[in-house]
Amino acid sequence: MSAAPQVTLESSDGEKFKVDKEVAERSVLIKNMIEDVGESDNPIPLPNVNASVLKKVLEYCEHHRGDPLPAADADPSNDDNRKRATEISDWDQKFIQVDQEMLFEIILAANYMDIKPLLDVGCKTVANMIKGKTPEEIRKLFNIVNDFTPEEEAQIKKENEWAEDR
Amino acid sequence: MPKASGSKTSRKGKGRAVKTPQPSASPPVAQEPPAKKARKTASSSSASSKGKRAGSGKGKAKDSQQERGQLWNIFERLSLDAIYTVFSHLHPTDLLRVARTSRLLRSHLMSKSSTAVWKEARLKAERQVPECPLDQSEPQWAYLLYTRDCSCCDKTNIAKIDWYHRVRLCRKCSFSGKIMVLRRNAAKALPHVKDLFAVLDLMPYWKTSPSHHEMYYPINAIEELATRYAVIKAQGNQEKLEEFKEQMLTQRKAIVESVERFKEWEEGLSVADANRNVVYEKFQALGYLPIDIGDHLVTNSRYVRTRTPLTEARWATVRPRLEALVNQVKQRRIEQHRGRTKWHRQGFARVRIQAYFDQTPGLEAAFRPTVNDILTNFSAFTEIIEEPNEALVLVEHFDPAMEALPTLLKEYNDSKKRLLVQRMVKGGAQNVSHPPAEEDLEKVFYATTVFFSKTSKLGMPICVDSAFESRMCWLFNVGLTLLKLSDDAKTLSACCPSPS
Repeated sequence: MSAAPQVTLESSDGEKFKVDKEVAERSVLIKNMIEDVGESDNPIPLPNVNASVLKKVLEYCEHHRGDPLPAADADPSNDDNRKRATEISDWDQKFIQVDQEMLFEIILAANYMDIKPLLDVGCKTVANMIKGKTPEEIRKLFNIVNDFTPEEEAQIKKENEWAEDR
Repeated sequence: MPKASGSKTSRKGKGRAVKTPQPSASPPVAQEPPAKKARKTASSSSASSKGKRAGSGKGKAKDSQQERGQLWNIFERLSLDAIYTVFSHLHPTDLLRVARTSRLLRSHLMSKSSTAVWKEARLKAERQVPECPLDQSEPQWAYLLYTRDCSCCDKTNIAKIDWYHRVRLCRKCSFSGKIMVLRRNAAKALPHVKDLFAVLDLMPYWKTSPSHHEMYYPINAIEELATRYAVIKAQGNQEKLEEFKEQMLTQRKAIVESVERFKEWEEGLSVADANRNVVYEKFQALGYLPIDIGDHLVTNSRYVRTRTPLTEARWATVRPRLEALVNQVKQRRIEQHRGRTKWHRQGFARVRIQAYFDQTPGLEAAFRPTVNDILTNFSAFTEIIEEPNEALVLVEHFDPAMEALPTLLKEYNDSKKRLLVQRMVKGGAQNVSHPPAEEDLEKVFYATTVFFSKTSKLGMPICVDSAFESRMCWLFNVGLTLLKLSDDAKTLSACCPSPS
């Protein structure tokens, strides 16, 4: 029996990762690259993802290698879909328990590599971090600088028209 | 690589609320650029969150930011898609708070292109809320529904919404005369407003209660509408003015209609739903079953479907009445269950009795009881049927009762024959002793009058004693002869033709 086909991925800092093609293809970016270029022994460069993040991303892909790919036309108004959209599985929850910097790097990598389920997990985690916090707490959490004057701050508290309507 | 600058979203951020000096230079970029989608980043140099904050005194925060080095605002590095994905998992109140953190995030969330995000958040919120009306933006709607702040001052926890003017006002703001004005005080309070009452007639008004006759209007809305009215009136085009009035009245009608809908939602869902939850929890703690608590008799009772929240004090008052309702439901459920069990057991006996009847047809059948009579009045059967619900009752358990059935039927038939013969004697029958002897019972078949039952589907004799005592004329299909059972000549002549 022949071994499963493998591909080599190269991180921004030059580290190479040899993984099963099936695992790598959880990333739509890589899948498209393989389809476009064809299978070769040359490593696929990922200039926006460093080794530590890529390792983490590949850990996710490995765990979810057999999962069905998310349907692009899933109806968000459907109750099941909505429920699923707000839940994070136990494994994913443990996986995403990383420091904030790594979390953001994972989101950026998932976005770049086009791994929608991973991007979703990351975004849900960020959303959970925001939930129930005051604007000041959110600023502190994400290092957002408050660029409103105190007067503006008081004003915007009660004004919520669309920006275009103003 | 520096990030893209001057994006469309950044321009949107500079709305009316944003009047500060332009933020200074963009932050240093420590990472390589995100490719593909990330290229269209959410940040821009003009709307960067690194602007000066007037009088903010944030020196410490900046130091800490520098200490954290590369960890800078994630929202400046993420693609719009990713940012909207984060937003789509938030509650509307969280979105409102995020929109107050920085110009950049405000520009994203206060853009009409974010409508879907707000809508999604609203749909995901814990309870169904009404659709956003056309005169409100989604953020305004979220603010009205979920933020319990007074729209005019810093007071919080304002429960009542003025749906007509889409505001929450504390008592002070409502009645200070500075925000809202009474119709009867309007002329005095707003002397500068021309055509005041013509303008007021075009506006929706708010009453403090349905029985209250005072009409309140928001002053700023009066002034705004009066200005528009004056401009159109100044043009001297009566037709245009009428058109404007018509338009305003249509808007008012739409608002009034929507208010009815919102009030219904507010009363029906918010208070009553909360009350239902309270009732549910309280009774469950008392050991009642959900099936009894959840019955509409309880959940739709006037103690639950009310505008008054079910507080502890109110619970203490209404508990005995609600508990009586829950017990009523419980009792009904138990009775229904008992009824079904008995009906199931009767089914076993019914089949066997019917089979027995089918095997013994004939004239004798005219005097025998119905199957239902046997199942409800014959103790040999009822004792088995009335066993407790927990007891297992099978077809064979009716064997002894079926063995006794012929004897029981004979006793029953004889008693009926005796009654009929007795009547016959009273009606003038001869050769029958009184009271009738055992051998006289069969003489009922030689009666000269037959009464056909009008009520019995099968035309069988009426076997209930009380029926004979009534003054009605009962008809039987016993043989071809007529059996006279009534002394009442009037009834007899009306119901029965004279025997020829």
